[in-house]
Amino acid sequence: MRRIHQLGITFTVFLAVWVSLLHQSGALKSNKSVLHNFFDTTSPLHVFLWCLPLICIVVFAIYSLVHIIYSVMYFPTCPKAAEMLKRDMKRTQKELVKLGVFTPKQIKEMNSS
Amino acid sequence: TTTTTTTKTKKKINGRDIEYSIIIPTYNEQLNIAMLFTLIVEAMEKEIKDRNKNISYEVIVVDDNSQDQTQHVIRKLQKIEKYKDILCLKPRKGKLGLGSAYIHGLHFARGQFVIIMDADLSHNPKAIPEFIRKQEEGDYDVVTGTRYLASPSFSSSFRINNSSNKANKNKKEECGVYGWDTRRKLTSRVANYLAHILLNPGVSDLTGSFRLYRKSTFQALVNTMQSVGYVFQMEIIVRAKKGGFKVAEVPISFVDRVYGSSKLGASEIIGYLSGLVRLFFSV
Repeated sequence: MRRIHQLGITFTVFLAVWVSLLHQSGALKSNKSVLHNFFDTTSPLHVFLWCLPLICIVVFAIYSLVHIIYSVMYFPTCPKAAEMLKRDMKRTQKELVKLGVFTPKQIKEMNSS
Repeated sequence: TTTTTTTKTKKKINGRDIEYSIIIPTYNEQLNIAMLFTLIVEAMEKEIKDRNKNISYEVIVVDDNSQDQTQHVIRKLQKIEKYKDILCLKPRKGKLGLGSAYIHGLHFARGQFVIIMDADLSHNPKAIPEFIRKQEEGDYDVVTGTRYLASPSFSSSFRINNSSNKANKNKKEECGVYGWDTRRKLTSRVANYLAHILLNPGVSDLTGSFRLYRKSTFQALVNTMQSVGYVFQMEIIVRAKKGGFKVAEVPISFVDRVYGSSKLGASEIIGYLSGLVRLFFSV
């Protein structure tokens, strides 16, 4: 199943649950239009249910922000690996000079460029 | 899909079937490629000695008509007796893209497995034996290096599996990145997070280019790729997972030595986002 279908199904299920909750709580009466129902809402529970999708979006946004900030703060780093690489590079450069692949002058020029 | 027929005059090295073909695309890497090759040989010889097992491998350099001495350096290395059977140079006429460089290298690859890596020493060749062992452990079709797995995951859905984390705890080598400032880390995390939401790929690092593939798997995937750059690496791993291939991850170190000279511009970001959206609708 494609990802877009997965997300589409999830969205449809959420929509169905939301509409069902609105019906069951009485926030959505079938004898009036959706807009009438929305603007006639006075009960706090009904207001909450009408705002539920927006609340979910806000909660998801906060979760995403916290997740990203946390993962940036704890981004794994490898300074020791970088040090070891520097040492390996110096060592292999000497070996390559011994093998005749480069001259010391060439190594120096390439390192400075 | 047809593959170009190549004359394979030598299918074996020292009487052994070649198991691993390491493909390295290059452009103006005259010093790096020589150091990288030396370190690869060192890592593989150490693995052969440690495991007391013959592992036959080759290194295929796909050079896109470098303007420096890259090809000259490789030919010099090929003249050295101990390297002549291991190192191959397969040049191309110009900069034709990373994906096509892999396809070009694949035509000449004699190994059962293909390892791709960058030529600028950002990928440590010492990790190659870990890729090999991981592949053997679970008979995986793809083993991909991850720069993110060492980090404690806020959400368990982004954690791969406990065995990978346990392996990471026992790892002697450090994992993660070096040379990235906060802005780069933030860009990487946001890009990765978006990709996870839209693609649900099942791997933690989508854009990494240090990977081991079963050759038949790579051949099956690479010819269907439509993307370039970062998105190419994402698309291939996503298609591998969706195609039912077995994929595993290995924590790696990534030492970015070129970040200062190649900053992520608006065009790269837009290219990435448009590629991501295209993948979302097609995978």
